[in-house]
Amino acid sequence: MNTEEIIYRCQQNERRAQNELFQHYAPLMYSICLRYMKNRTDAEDVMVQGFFRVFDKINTYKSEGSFEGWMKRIIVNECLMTLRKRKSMGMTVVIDDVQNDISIPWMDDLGYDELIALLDELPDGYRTVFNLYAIEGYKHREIAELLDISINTSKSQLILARRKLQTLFKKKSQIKTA
Amino acid sequence: MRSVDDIIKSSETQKRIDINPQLWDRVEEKLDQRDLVKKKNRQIWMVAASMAFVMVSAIGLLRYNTPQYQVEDLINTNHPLLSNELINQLNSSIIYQDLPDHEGTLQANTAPVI
Repeated sequence: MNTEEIIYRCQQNERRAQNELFQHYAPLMYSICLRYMKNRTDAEDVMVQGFFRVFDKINTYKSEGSFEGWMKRIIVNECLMTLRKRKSMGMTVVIDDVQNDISIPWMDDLGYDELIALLDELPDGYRTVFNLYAIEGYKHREIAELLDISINTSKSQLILARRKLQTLFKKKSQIKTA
Repeated sequence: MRSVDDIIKSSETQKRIDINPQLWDRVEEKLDQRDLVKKKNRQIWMVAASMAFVMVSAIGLLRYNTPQYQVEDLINTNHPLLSNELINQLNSSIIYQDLPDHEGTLQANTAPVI
């Protein structure tokens, strides 16, 4: 079965097709959940709820644009909803100089797992904005709407996240070279 | 030098993370529950609609069976055997009274003898 056929069958509520779609996209969606949630149990819970929502809303998918992108948005929204419910994002710090951008000297040998480990060390608020902006490609205006914060707060969180990542990265590099 | 989104995006698309097989069972369980709730709701609506239909039919039948409706219905048929004289007799055999909230609606309180 190709993806279009699987989607069509999922729209008819066929379990076999739903299972096939799940098996195909679960690894990618799980890695997205892992980036937002700090532990595996939370990531699994969010993914289960996210897939349930995908199957529940699949009739609203109109084959315009990528299905993967549509699914990702649902999963990311599920992560955000869970984080918001916990009120763990605590984005109260707003720094004045929001134009002050910091680049991080990423090295070629920095692997995915190391990067995820670094991201895990960030507070929820920093990590969420960093994920949305630097990886998912959302604009600050969109992040502000999604998280119900101001654009400046979103920008501040990103700068603070980058600063923190830079510090963590330096620490990691020192340990490696020592 | 690779950017952070490069590392993450390429790894996430290529990497095959092992997924706990129980996760699908949990998704399936949620879907089954949703289907069950939908089925129950549909049944409740069908029972309610059937009851409403039966009630409306019963009310209609009861109203039609009153003497006034039967006589009026007979008059309204304009059957060729119904002469004007007979119609007048039928009309006069019904004692009409005005109903306050149904202007122009008349109701019989005695059954006509045809």
